[in-house]
Amino acid sequence: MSAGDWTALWVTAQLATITTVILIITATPLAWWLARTTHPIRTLVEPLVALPIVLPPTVLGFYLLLAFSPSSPFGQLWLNITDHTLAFSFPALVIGSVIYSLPFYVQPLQVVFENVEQSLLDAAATLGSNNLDRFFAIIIPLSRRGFVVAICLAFAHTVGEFGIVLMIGGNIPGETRVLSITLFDHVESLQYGQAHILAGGLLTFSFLLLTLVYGVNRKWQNR
Amino acid sequence: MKYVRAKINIEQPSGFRLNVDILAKQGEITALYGPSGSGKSSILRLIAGLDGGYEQHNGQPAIEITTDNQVWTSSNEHIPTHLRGVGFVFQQAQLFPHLSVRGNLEFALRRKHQPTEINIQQVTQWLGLDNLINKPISQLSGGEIQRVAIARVLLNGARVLLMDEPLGALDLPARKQILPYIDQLHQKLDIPFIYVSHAIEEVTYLADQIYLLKAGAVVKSGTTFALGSSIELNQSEGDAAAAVIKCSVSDFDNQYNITKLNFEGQDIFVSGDRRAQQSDIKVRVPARDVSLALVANTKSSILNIIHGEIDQIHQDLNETSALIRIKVGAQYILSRITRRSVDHLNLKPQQKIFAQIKSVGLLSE
Repeated sequence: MSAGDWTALWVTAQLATITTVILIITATPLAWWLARTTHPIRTLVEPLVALPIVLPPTVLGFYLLLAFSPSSPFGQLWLNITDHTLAFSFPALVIGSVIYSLPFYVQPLQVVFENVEQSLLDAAATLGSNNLDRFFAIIIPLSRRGFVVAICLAFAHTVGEFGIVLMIGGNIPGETRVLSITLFDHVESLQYGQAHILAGGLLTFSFLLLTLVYGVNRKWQNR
Repeated sequence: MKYVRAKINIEQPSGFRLNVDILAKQGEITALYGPSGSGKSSILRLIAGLDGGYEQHNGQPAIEITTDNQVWTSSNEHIPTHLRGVGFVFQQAQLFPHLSVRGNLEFALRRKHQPTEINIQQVTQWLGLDNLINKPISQLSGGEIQRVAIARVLLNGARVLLMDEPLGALDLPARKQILPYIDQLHQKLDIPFIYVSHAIEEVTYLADQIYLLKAGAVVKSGTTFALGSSIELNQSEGDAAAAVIKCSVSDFDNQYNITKLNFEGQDIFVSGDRRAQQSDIKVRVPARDVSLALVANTKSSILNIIHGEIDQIHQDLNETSALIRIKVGAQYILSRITRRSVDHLNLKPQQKIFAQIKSVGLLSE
């Protein structure tokens, strides 16, 4: 692997980690809300969250690119606060990845949250457990399967994204040049040897991660 | 806590109307008794603060849950459940499946509502849970699960105890095993205790006060002695119908191993030596074990023959049997006989009658 490949691996690892952490913090409450709410607005939020599954990444990338450009209000605001343009930057990739991987994090979690019995939470409340305590002491342990699946899928999906990165990140080494883009570059310039290393590496990584997910699923199934 | 009072007047979205005023005092077991769908469980959930959203009814304050020193629910107050200090035992015990028995007990101990003297070892010893302490919940039997639930409440330092059909999911042997624990729990914790059940035996065994509920309203309320022998409480009980009477010990016959009880100046004999029980003894007289005669039949193997006066005859033309209430001094016993016998003997209220009692059971053991 060339130095450029290593840099791309580092950027990818950072992107996937930061994206996953942001999803854990922001999308866990969203998944809980979707699992429990009876509010009619749920019928709009659920398809919105699921959109990235069916949309071509380029469509999402196109709209995000427009939003990130300095001529849009959001891009302008970002420029004013950070003094940097948002488009074609690492933060742009993070925002795009969070949106793009959102359903892969929310959906498995929502399923396990829906299976947490309200009566157990009621019992915990009578025993003196407040909302936050119930979340950490009851909901999370009972949903650990969902958390493993959600975290693995969100991470792996972020590592594997291509189209949206191309649209909003460009191809800046050390900043926005991720593994999938690097692989594409190698193939375009007919460096098949290097392409094999990256492609094989990504294949192995994805396979191992999914093996872990299914293994955990089976092990905790009969809990 | 000295008392908890629940004044509720709400209409649920389903159209079900709940309108009750329940008072549960420290040192007593207050039973909410009635058929399923009468609103018993809803009352407990509202006391615990588990269900909200009914604070107003036609612009009036709809729920007032108060204790001697706090307002838990009113039109402008809703103390969250976790701050109320209610010990709630559910029908499905709701133990936490991701924790062991010990984990469940420690969960309760770490979050206790007030300081308690009792520790896990004492509790598990009392409830016979020593050998189960490290087991996962999934390996416990129904009776064991309910004992862990009782242990959890005891360690949690509850200020008021609420039990919603805690024996409802158990078979008869397990029920008989748990019932004395619940009675003793009440003696250990000097707090208000509300017990919800549709099983008349449990209610008369445990309760000091009974609220008879039907379709969201209190039909009748009073002490177990006052209400236990009423037609209202027993009419739909079939073979479980029974009177609850108060007796005192008068003598013990060593030769036959029989204790003589004083029941309104007349004698009732029960097996064994009961002299250890100083105060009033609660005796349950099943209605189907009481037959009636117009003359005293002393040449009979039946030991207990009580004379009294017919107070009420309850007949349902759809049923073969009738329920007769007989006044004995200031108390009552019940007799379930066929309607044919009622007509045959030409029984009428105020008539003098002899009640032959085949069996009696002591409740306060």
